Amino acid sequence: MSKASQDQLSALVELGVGGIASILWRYFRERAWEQLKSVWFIIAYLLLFQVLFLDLPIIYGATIAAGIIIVVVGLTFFMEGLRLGLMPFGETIGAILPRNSRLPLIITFAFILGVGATFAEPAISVLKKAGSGVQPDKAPLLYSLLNDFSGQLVACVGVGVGIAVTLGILRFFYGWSLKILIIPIVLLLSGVTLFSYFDPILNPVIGLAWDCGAVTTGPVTVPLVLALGIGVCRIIGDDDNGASGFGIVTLASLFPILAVLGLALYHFFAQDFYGAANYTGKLLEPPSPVVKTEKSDSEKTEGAEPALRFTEEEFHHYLQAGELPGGEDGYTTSYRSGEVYLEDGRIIHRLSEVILEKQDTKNKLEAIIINQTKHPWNPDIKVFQEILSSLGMAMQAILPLCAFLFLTLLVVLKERLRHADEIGIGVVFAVFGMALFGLGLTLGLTPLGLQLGSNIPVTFTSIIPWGLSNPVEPLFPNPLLGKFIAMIFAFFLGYGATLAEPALNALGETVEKTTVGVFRKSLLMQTVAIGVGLGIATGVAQMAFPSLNLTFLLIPPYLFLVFLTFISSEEFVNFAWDSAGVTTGPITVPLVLSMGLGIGANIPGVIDGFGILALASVGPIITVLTVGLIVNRTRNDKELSLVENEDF
Amino acid sequence: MKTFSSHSDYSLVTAILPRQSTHRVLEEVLASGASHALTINARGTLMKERWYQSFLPTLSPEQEIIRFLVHNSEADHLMEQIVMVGKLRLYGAGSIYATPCCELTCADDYPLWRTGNYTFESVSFDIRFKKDLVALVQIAQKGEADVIARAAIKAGAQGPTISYIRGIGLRDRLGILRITKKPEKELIVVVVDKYDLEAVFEAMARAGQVGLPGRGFLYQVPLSKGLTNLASVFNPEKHSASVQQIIRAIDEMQGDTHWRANQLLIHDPKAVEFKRDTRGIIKDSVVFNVLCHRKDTEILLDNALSFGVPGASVSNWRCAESQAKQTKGGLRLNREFGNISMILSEEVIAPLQKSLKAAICKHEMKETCFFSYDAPIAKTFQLSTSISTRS
Repeated sequence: MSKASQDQLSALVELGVGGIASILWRYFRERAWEQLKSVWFIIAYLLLFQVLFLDLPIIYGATIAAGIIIVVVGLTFFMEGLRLGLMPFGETIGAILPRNSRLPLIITFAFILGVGATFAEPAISVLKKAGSGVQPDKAPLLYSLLNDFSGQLVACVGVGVGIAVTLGILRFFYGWSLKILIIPIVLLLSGVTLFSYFDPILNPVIGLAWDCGAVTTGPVTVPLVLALGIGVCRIIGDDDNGASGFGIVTLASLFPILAVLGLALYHFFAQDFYGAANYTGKLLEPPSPVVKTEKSDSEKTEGAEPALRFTEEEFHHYLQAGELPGGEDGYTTSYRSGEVYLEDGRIIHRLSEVILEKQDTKNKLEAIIINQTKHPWNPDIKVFQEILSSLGMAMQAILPLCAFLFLTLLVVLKERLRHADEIGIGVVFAVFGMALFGLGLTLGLTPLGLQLGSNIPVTFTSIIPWGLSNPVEPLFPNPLLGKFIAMIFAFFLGYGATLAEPALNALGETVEKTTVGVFRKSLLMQTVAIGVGLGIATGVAQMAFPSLNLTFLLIPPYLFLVFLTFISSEEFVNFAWDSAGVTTGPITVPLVLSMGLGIGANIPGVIDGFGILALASVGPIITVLTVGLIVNRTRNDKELSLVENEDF
Repeated sequence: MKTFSSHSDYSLVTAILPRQSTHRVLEEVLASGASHALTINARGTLMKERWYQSFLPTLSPEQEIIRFLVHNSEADHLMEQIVMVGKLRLYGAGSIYATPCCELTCADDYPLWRTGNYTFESVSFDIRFKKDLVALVQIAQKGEADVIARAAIKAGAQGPTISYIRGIGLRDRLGILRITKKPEKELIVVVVDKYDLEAVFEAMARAGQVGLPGRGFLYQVPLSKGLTNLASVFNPEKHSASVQQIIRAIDEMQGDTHWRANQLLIHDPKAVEFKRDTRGIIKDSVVFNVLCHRKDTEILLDNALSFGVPGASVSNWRCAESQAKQTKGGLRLNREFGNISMILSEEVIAPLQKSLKAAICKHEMKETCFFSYDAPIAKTFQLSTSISTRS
C-alpha cells in the first residue's frame, strides 16, 4: 500500500469522538430494537395476563423489570456476537474442512466438537447436581443414574452428541437423506420410550432422557453447528436442494435421548441400580417426611405473638396425622440454613431446617401485599453472585469451543483467520451477552414465568397464588370454560416464548440467508411458534383433563409425524426437525415447566411437565411440515404446467 | 511473474433459471464442452393478485443465476442450447441474455472459454432473441429489495431476480467500527424492453430512493440479445394465459413494442411524460469486474479500496466444472469464485488493473480475470459530479 493511498484512507476514517459516539449509539439502538421485537410479545403478555386478567399483583416488580431490561441488552449483545463472531467462524472452518483434509480427520474433528459442545453446555452441569433432589425409594434407577452413574450419564450424552455431529457432517459428504436417518431413530425411540413407560422403574428415567436431548441443543451449540454445516455445504454437493447444511441439530437432539435410554436399559437389565440385587453403593437412611408446600420461602414472620404459637396438643396432632389446624393456610413455612438451588424450574432446599409457624389467616394477605409494594426488590437475590455465576457459565459455554475451533484452524488446517478482529469482538460480545442474558433470565423472566405459570390454574380451580398465602376462587365458575381458557393462555405462552428463543432466531436467520430470502425468517418463526403453542395447549389439556392419557396423546402425533416426514420434501424435513430441536431453549423450558408444575400441583395425579415438553417439540415439526406440503403443492403446480406444455 | 492477455469479442451470457431446471441445463452445457459456469442462488418475485393470498404461506420462486464468459462466435449456440434444455420459451421458465464485454483481461491460467471446444450445433431451432433489451441492476439495503421489485413489476417489468451480495465502501474505511454496519446488500436484476426502460428505471429509483445518501446504486446495462420469461404473478392459472403472455405474443406478432404506446389511445396526463429526476445521474461509466478465488477477494478488495475506488460489491459464485473433484459419496466438490464489481469511469480502469495485477503477482493468486461492460446511465447519491478518481 503506497503512502499516498494510506493518507487518503486515514483521512476518511477520522470521525471524531462525537461521530464515533453517534455511530455506536445508532448501532446499539437498531440492534436492541431488533431484539425487543422478538421478546416484547412474551413480556407484555405475561405482565398483562397477570395484572389485568388474573387480577393478581406482580411480586418483586422492580427485580423483574430490571431483569427484563437486562435480558434485552444481553440478547442484543449475544445475537450480535453470533453474527460477527461465532457463525462466521464456524462457516469458515466448515468451508475449509472438505478441501484441506481427509475423512478420518473430519470425523475426529466432528466427534470432538460434539463432545466438547456438550461439556460446555451450562445445563449439563445442572444435570450432575440434580441427583440429590431425587428420592431413591420412589425412582431408584433415576436416582442411581444421577448419583452412582452420573459420570457415565454425562459421558453417554457427550458421546451421543459426538456421534450425532459426526453423522450429520458425514451425511453431507455422502448425500444421505435426513429422512432415512430420522425415521428409524424416531421409531426406535418411541418403542423404547413406550416400553419404559409401562415399567415403574424405567418410567421416571424417560423425562431425564428427553431432557438430555433438549439440553444439548443450547443457544451456543446450535448456531455454531449450523454455521459449520452451511460452510461444508457451500463446497460440497450439486446444490439440488436448498436445505443443505441443516440436520445436525436434529441428530444432536435425538442421539443423546437414545444414549441415555440405552444406559438406563443396560443398568435395568444388569440390576445394579439403587436397591436392586447387584447394587454396590450404600443404601440411604429412609428420608424424613417432607412437608409439601407451594409457598415461597421468602416470607418472614416477625416475632410471633402468643396467640400465634402452636400448642403442645397441636404438635402431637401434627406428629400423628401430619396436618395442622386451619389447614394449609394456618401456618407458614420457612427454611433455615442448607442450600437452595433451582432445578428444572423447581426450587429445592437441601439439608435445610423446615420451620412451621402459625399465622393469622385474616390479615396475612393484606400484610404481604403491603410488604411487597414496600419491597419491590427481591431481597433473596444476591446480584453480585448471580453476575459472577452467569459470567462463569457464559465463559464455560463459549470460550473452550472457540479455543478448540481456533486451534483446529491454525494447527490442523493451517489457515489464517481473516477478519480476526471482527471475530474476536464477536466472541467477546457473545460471552458478555450470554452472561447478561442468563442474569436477566434469573432476575426477571423466569420468576415472572414462575408466578404466572403457577397462577394459570386459577381459571378453573381454587389456588393459592404464587407469593401470596390466601386462596383465590376460580375465575370462571364453569370449570370447563376455565380449562378451555387456560389452554388458550398456554397456547400464547408457548407462542411468545418461542418467538423470543435466541437459537431459533439464529436458525431463522440462517435459513433466510441460505435460501436467499426464499424462505423467510418470519414464516419459519411464526410456524414454529404456532406449533409450540398448540403442543403446549394440548399438554395443558392433558393435565387439566386427567382422563386424557398422555400415551395416547403422544403416540398418534408421533406416528402422524413419521408419516408426514416420509411424504415431505427433504428441505422441509430439515427445517422442521431442526427447529423442533431448537425450541426447547432457555426461555421456553422454565416457563413451560413452571406452568406444568403449577397445574400439576393443583390437580391430583399429575406430577410434572414432561408431557408438555414432549408435545411442545412435536407441535412445530407437524406445523412446519404441513406448511411445507402446502407450499410444495403450489410449487409443483407450476412445474406440472411446464411438463404438460413440453410439446409445443 | 504472471502474464495476462487481453481479449475482445467476449460476451457475458447470463441465464436466470428456476431451481428445478438448473441442474439439467448445467449438465447438458458442460457435456457439450463448455469449460465452466459460475452459479449463484437467487430468488424471484411474485406479486399476489388477491388480498387473501398474502395470508397463505407462499415462497418466492427459487432461482439460480448462471454466468458464462463466452466468445461472441459461440454465444448464440450456447444461448440456443440453454433455451432448448431449459425450455425458456415457456412462461415462467427463466430468462437468458448476453452482455457484450468492452474489455476482458485474464491471467493465463484462468480457464477461459476457448473457441472450438464447445461442440453444440444449433439445429435451426429458430429462436428469435429480442435485440432491444436492457438490464437494470440495483444494489439496495437488505430487506428493501421486495419493495423495489414490486415497484418494477408495477411499472411493467417482469420477474425481478434478487440475490445477496456484500457491499464494500464506507464500511471498510471505519476500522473496527465497521462492525456497526451490516455489509449484506441485495442485488436486483430486471431485464426490460427498451420501451419500458424509462418507466421501470424511474419506478425503481423512486422505490429505492437511490438519490439519497446510503441508499445504493441503480444502473442500466445494454444487452446484445436475450429472452425473458420469468413469472411475476402468483397463481396465474385463473386464465389460460397471463397478461404478460398475451403482451409477449402481440409483441412477437407485431415485431416491435410500439403498439403499447397507450398514451395515444387513453388521455392520461400523468402517463404522458416521465419527468426523470436527473439528480445523481452519472453517464457513461463502466462496470468493472474482478473474478478470483473466494479466498483472494479480501486482498484484491483492499487493494482496490486503497487505490481509491469509492465502493464495490462482492458476490460469491460456485464454479460448476466438467471435471470437478468429488467426495467419496460421489458429490461434487465445488470451487468458489468471488466477483468484485465496481462502477467506475473508463479512464480509471487501466491504472486500477495495473495495481490489481501487481497484487495478484505478489500474492501468487491463481485464476484471476477482469472484465468490464458499459453502464451508460447510473444513478446514486452524489456530492460531487464525478466519480472520485485518484487525483
